[in-house]
Amino acid sequence: MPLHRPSSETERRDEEFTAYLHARQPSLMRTAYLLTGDRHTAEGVLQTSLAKLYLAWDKVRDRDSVDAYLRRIMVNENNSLWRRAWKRREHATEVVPEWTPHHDEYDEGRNDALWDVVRSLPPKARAVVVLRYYEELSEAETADTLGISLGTVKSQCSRAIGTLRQRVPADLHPGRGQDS
Amino acid sequence: MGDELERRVRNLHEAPFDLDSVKGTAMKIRTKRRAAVAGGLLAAAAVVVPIAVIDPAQTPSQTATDPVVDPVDPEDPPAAGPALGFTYIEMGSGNAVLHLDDGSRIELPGPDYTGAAVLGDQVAAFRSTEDGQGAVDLVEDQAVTTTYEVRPPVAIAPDGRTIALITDDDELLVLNGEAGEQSFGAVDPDAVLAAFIGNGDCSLETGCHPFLEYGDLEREPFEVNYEGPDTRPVPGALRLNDAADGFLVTAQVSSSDIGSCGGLYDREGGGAVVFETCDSQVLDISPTGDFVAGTDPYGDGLGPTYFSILDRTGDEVARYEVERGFVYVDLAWSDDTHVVASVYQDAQWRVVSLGVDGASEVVLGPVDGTEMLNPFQVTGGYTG
Repeated sequence: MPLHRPSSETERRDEEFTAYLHARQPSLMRTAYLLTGDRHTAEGVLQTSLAKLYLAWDKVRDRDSVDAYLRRIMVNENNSLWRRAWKRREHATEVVPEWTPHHDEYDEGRNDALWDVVRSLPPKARAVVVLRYYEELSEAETADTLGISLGTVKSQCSRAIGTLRQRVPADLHPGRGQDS
Repeated sequence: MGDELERRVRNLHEAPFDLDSVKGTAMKIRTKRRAAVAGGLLAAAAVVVPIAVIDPAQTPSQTATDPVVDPVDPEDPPAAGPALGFTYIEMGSGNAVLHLDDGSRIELPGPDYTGAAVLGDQVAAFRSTEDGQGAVDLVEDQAVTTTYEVRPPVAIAPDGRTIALITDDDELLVLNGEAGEQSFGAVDPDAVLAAFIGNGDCSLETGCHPFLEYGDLEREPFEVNYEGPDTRPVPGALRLNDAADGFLVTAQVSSSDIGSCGGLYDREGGGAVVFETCDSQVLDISPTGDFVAGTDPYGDGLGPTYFSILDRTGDEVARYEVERGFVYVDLAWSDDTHVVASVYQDAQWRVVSLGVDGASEVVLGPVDGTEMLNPFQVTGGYTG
């Protein structure tokens, strides 16, 4: 690999990366927010993940797999942040968001209650929930992204649903069984 | 639940980062990697030391003072050479040469390297420094691109594709060709690395498992795993000697003036001791976990006078005795049933392979040399 990349190659890479940013960044930001639980941390995780993706851009030859590659970086970054926070016994605090989460007229607080529970899950369990239910990855895709077994995905999902049912008041249960 | 999550972020449409900000962060990441070394940035920028792939068809130098073979044109792809099944570093009067288990060779940019991992296009090579500490050089495209000042030792994964290190400011890092640099944050300043298993992708549950211990042997070794919290890989252990896929760990559990006791512990299998023995010091675990290498539990002189193979009951099934010499205790398994070690005997160094059937053969050397300079630093074993 040459030490100094030809400028045309750099331009090509920058064009490709810019197109990817335009197409995917809002969606990636939403995933980062759900993984981290707060806006400030989400931006940090996404920025670092995008930078690492840029550094590895030429190695991700299959452009269809870029999202999966970046998801894995984001999960890793979030776990790394969590580890450091755990070591310091610190906890991230929610920064007042500049945007307002959507609330349905007839929500009756269910979304906020669910969100509180999701945010309280350990990072690995939260990642399983986000990838499985928000990104709508299959169990196999979720397992592959997180590098865990299919059985672990199933058990984590089951445990997360069980936790949600325990902590969310019965009258606010989402769909009453649709997730089981 | 998916609908609830989707509703939570439905109004979040922002794209806060443009190409310039991403590239700026990327530059900071690269700079941070270099700045992990006190004063290393200038050195990394100023010192461009070539490495080259060497024709593996040439035999290893036959005397410790022979010059290393001349590097070939790095544009030429390396030819496949005889695969010995283990990785070692050849040291002599010139630059150290890394011999990979598949027979290919890479000349390192200095004479003092004693360990190395192959990280894709890069080689991470460890050397001791004059202050008693160490450094890991990342070598790519014939140049040292980054230097990490580290607290030795480093730990190299069994497949030789990942290296774990603790920087001189106590940060535990894992370097892997695919996953890059990954940080576990700060660790206790008194803890040192003992072993590492996993494929090096720390986002995976089984990807990164560094095992650490304390040099004073007064506190129990520990592991940093995917879950984050520290765990105790072997209750009551003083020192960890090896770890293998499947979470088998060999450990020393007691030490006295007349010897030491240790054993094989199965962390996954309900946390059971497979065997304990005071007749051997238990070292490297075979790729299948069916055997472990052992040696004299009583350490004296320049090194023990034998190395051996134990089965899963702790019984010795094979032994290689060294007369008028000693074993250099850096062992590796070259396949499921053979362990290799370099030995010094009759003023010559050689690497000996010992099988579980008791048969042994010299696979490298002998070369003349002094007892203080082992020209064959065995650094890693069978990669499947």
